[in-house]
Amino acid sequence: MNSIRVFLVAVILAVITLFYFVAALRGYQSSMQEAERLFDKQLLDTARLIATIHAEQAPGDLGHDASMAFQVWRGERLLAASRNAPATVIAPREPGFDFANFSGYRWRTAAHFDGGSGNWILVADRTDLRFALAENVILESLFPTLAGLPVVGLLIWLIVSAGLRPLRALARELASKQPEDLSPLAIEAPKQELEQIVASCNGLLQRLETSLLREKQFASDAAHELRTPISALKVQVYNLAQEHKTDAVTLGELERTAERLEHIVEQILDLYRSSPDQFNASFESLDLSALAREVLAEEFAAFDRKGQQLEFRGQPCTIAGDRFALTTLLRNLLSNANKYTPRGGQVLVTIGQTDDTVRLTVEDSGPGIPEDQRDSIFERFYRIGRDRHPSGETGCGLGLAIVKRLVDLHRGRISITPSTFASGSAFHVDLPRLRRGGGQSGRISKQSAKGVALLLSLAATTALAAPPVFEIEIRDHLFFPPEVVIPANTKVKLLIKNLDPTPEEFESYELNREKVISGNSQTVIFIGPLPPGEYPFFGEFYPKTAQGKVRVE
Amino acid sequence: MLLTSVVLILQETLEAALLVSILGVVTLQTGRRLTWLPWGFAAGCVLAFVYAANIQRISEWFDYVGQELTNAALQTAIAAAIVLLAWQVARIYAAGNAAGAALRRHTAALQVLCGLIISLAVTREGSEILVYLGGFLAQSDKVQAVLIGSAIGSGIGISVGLLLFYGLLALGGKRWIPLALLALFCGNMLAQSALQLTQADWLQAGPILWDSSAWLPEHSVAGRLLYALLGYESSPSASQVISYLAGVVAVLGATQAAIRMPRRGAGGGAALTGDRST
Repeated sequence: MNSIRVFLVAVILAVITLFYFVAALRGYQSSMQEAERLFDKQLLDTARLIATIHAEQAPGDLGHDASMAFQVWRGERLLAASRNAPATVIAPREPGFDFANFSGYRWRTAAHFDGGSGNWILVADRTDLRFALAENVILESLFPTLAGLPVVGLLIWLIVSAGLRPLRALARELASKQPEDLSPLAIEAPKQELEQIVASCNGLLQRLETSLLREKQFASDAAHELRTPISALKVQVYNLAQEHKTDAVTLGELERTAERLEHIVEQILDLYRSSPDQFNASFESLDLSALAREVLAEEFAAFDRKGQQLEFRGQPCTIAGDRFALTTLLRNLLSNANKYTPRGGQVLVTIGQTDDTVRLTVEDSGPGIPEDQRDSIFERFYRIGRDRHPSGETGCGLGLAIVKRLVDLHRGRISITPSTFASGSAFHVDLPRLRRGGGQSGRISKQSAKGVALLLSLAATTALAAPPVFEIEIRDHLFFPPEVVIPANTKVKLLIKNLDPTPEEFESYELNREKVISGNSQTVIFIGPLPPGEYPFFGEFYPKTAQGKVRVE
Repeated sequence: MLLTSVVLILQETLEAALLVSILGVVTLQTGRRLTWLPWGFAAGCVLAFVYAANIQRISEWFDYVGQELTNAALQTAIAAAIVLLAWQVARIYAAGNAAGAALRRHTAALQVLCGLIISLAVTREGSEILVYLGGFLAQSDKVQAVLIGSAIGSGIGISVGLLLFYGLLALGGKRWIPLALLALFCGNMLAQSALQLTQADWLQAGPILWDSSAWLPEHSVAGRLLYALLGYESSPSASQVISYLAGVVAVLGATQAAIRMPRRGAGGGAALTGDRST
């Protein structure tokens, strides 16, 4: 009921129907009156016609079912009559029309006096037949009007839909915007009615972007500036503790506070570094299980202090990822599990893979996360129960926000389910598995003339057969996948799709130090035949640079 | 034939369409969905079919006044449900937005009442339409006129209902208008019920209080519209006028009681008042 389209169609159709039908009724009434007049005139003409015939020759053999009856009277003598007429007068002997009932029907009567013969000619028509005849004729003309109404409704629906298309386009554009995308709305020449909305939205986005940048910059600067004094503070606390061993409790508390402060500053810096506009990823092919083992070994002491059982089950799984970012991701998930699992609890880390994804799961035997809070915990500074969390652990609520960002930057997904222990939660991180070829080989894309660019050093080689296609997508100024594996000594086609919402930015690609100036949103590069080896691949998108690798095997 | 069909179908459709519009507006203004509409309508259609199929038997009840009494019972039930609905709606309005949201969660009664009112109204109006159509559709020479007349009558009735619905929605904040219309509709139902009881000889009609047929005949277009919306009668009897006023007063009284109820309560009243002021 809140739809503008439904409102417009319903109201327009209701108004049209109302006027249409009321007009049809008026038309019906006036047509019926006109038909009555015509029938009356016809009846009177019949009476006059009978008057011209000699009374005895009048066609009196009209049966009982005939639609017409007549009588010819001279004074009180009935000279002639149709068989269906009674013996008494059927109408007053006065010129004009009237109604009468006889022979089981209601009749319209007309009386005509023939001055020449001195005869009264009384004629009558059955009213039911007159009415039915007139109504049938008029209904035939009304029917198309009614039958056309659904067509009118459909046309109104189509017209209103077409009229609302720019509004839907605007809604789609707004809905498709990623949370971090604050670029202006890409609506060319908006309709007059939408100009103000688009201009206001763009102004708002611009102001928001400026404020967010200022906020991020402030947080980053503040964290940077705080690192040095915090480090100095820790050293001083350590020195104090060495000198005044009697105040161990107070100084221990001070040391923990300083550590907590340092942790918050580090988390703020990690959050800043993991924002898409700051993240300079260096993707490489790495074994997630090996990396997880390293991080687990580093973090084991924390679990040991709380007497928790930390278990790892995993198989070698290769993904394309940034080593530093994945280390931060694992560390945060483990820290989260360590904090919120009670003493003597269990934490299990598993790594497995399917055809497309590698799944990292960190599950604990802690108190678990209520279902209605599972989305909120990835928000910055969100903490379940605030500082009244049953674990009594302090935190700044940034760890899982950082994890979510890092998962997004790796084109992965994160989800939470109850753990396999009696209580607790399981965090599942699904990351795309690195596959040979990088894209769906064999899927031939349409190449536009604009998008075609030949890699200068390799273009001379021509291939008669259609080369296999390898696809790379650009999102958030990064290549996905970051490494493309192509067969040796074969010419291939590299299709680069820029899915970033700012295609007007200048782009260029560089393979093995050869530069290719290309189009905006889709670029095709022919590569090969190349000898086996690794070839660095760069993309420049103002003001960022992304790097990948073409590996020839 | 066509005009007869238009008049009969228009009268029945208009009454149901106006009722649906008012209930629709009231439901949306209390922040609820029109879930009751398809269910109430479907239930009404089934009941109308059952009623129409057994009309012969029903009319023989109570010494051949069964149909009048059944109609009177349906109309009285609709009026009673409208009074309860008005009370519910006024409670939600009076509680304000914050407490209203809390109340809304527990007032499935509103959905049930709306569904009940619509199903009863459709039962009564629908059965009359079915009986009428059933009588004429057997005569092949009149089918076309009856069908076209029905289409025109229902088209006009539904169009007026839709325009009233969007018109009332456009009024937005003036929540008392749908409630006032509900009060008039309730009066209309009771007046019609009194008329049916009079026809069944179960109620004394009383004297005719006035005759306005010269100014606004009942059978004119405006007369029929006012009949459907406000229960207009050009020459009403005393029993009809008293029933009408009783219906209006019942709804207004229920509304007032609902508005005052939270104020009388101690803790709850204070909370509701506090929410309203924020």
